[in-house]
Amino acid sequence: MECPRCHNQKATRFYKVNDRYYCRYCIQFSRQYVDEYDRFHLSKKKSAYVHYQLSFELSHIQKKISSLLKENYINQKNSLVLAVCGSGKTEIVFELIKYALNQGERVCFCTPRKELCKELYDRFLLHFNQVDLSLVYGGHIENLESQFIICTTHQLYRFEKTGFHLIILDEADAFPFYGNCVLEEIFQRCVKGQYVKMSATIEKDDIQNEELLIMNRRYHQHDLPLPYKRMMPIIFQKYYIIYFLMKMKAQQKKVLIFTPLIKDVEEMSHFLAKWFQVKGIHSKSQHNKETIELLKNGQLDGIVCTTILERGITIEDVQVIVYNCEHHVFNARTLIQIAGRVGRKPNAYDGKICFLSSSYTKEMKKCIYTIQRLNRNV
Amino acid sequence: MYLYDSKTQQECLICFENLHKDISLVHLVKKLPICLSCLRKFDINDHTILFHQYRLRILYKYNDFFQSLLYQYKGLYDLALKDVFLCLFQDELKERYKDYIIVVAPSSSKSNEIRGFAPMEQIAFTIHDQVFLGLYKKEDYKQSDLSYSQRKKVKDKIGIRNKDMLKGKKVLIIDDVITSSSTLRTCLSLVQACSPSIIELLVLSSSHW
Repeated sequence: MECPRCHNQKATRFYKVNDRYYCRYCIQFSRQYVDEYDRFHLSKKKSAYVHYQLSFELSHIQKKISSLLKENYINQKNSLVLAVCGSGKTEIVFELIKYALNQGERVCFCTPRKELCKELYDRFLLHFNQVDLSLVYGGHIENLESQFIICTTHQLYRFEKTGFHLIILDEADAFPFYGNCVLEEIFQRCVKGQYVKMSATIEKDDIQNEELLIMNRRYHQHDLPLPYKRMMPIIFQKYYIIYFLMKMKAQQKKVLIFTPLIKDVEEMSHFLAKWFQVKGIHSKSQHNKETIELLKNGQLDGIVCTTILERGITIEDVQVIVYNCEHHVFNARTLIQIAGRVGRKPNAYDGKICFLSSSYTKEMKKCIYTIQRLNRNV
Repeated sequence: MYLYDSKTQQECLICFENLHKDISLVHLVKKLPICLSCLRKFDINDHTILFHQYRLRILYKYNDFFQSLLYQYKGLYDLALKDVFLCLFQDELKERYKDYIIVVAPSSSKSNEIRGFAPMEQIAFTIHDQVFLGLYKKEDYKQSDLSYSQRKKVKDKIGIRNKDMLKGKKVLIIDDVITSSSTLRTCLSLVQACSPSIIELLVLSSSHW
């Protein structure tokens, strides 16, 4: 016996109700009977002509990848986009989405993070005209029948029976999607046509039958800032952060201080508050949005945070310092994302990324090597 | 054999970890279907209070863990979890209530049809087979969707069949969560009208008491 959804074969993870077995391993995404096979009702929808408008012109490489994505879709090929942080990867799928919607096809844009979904929804509403668009995330459902859906990867199970002609998965390397075989399977079951996966970090194993498209330049065409490391025992790292903050404050630059644990955020923000205007952000803290706004407006010198801020935020001319970088939460993917916070705007394309650690870990090495390689156009 | 078997079960029913990963005294004394770390997530608050002059026993605090477990059972239709809720108290409850009839608070028949089972009834069956299924909802409503004032009117929405079965019997009324206590009060008054000899109440969890 095998679960058609998560491929669980372990006998003890099935249970019987009214003479039918269901899988308990993926029960979080509704009850899946073992004998239940998909009946798809994917049909095209006629809609008004959809078009979009951007307030800026795409760069040369963005235009090139945008047309390649459309070409791949027409030729029924899946695509995998390796786009460095801050390269403007959302905009490159606009043309493809417009094409699919105007063919009357159903489209889904999904990402593992809820906050990102909300932001994307606002962006699509702003740029696209006449689009039948709905947003779906945990605790929020608009219209599941809409032609164009923006949702978290956790909500894809709602569309297993209908599916999409085109699915775009952004941040394919992010928690909780990456490495979760149930979510991966649900994603595959929703793909009734082609998909596009976009990610800032791709390893060999991630490439299946897709065509790999690489966008290794940011919109402003400058190199990605390279992290540097400062090796010291953990007890001195706090004092180095004070020195770093003082230096940055003198230059009127904002700082993000990444720490591995929530407990560290609390301790560090309390410690630094004696000398600087800092606040902490983690998954359990409140008013996170307001705190980020305070930093953006220059009312704070810095924010102490966990990896919660590793993706999806853009703060102009921000500098980054990572405390206790040898901790296992800081793997190469996370560190690349953290480094990606720096130098995103054309008028502040460079900046400092400092890794504080008592040893030079494999993950730090891999992060620095990957960024170097991307800068060399390899 | 593709069937969960409580005697040979080696995995925790909640988190699928090996049951013997952490050895605990509780596991040596009792055969439990859940692991030590899941067991610790239950906020056990076993106490008895007087509810309209009747003994009401409450087992757990309604914490986030209990809420998500109950949701998996009732909202995601995971029947296997029926063995989890009373597992710690099972032997004691079996012994104490062996000559009682268990009356379960009713759930919506529409939801039960989708689930394929009635949640409280299945939990009651883990104590023993003498379960009274005569209480029913006259109309479909979800308790959690009702406002506090609407909940007070619940008494008009629950009915009773086969009253004679309870006459002169010892009765235990059970429900999953007690919030405004309106459901429990209604069940109690309906059962009282059947003139049983003894009435006791058992609730799995409560956030207030």
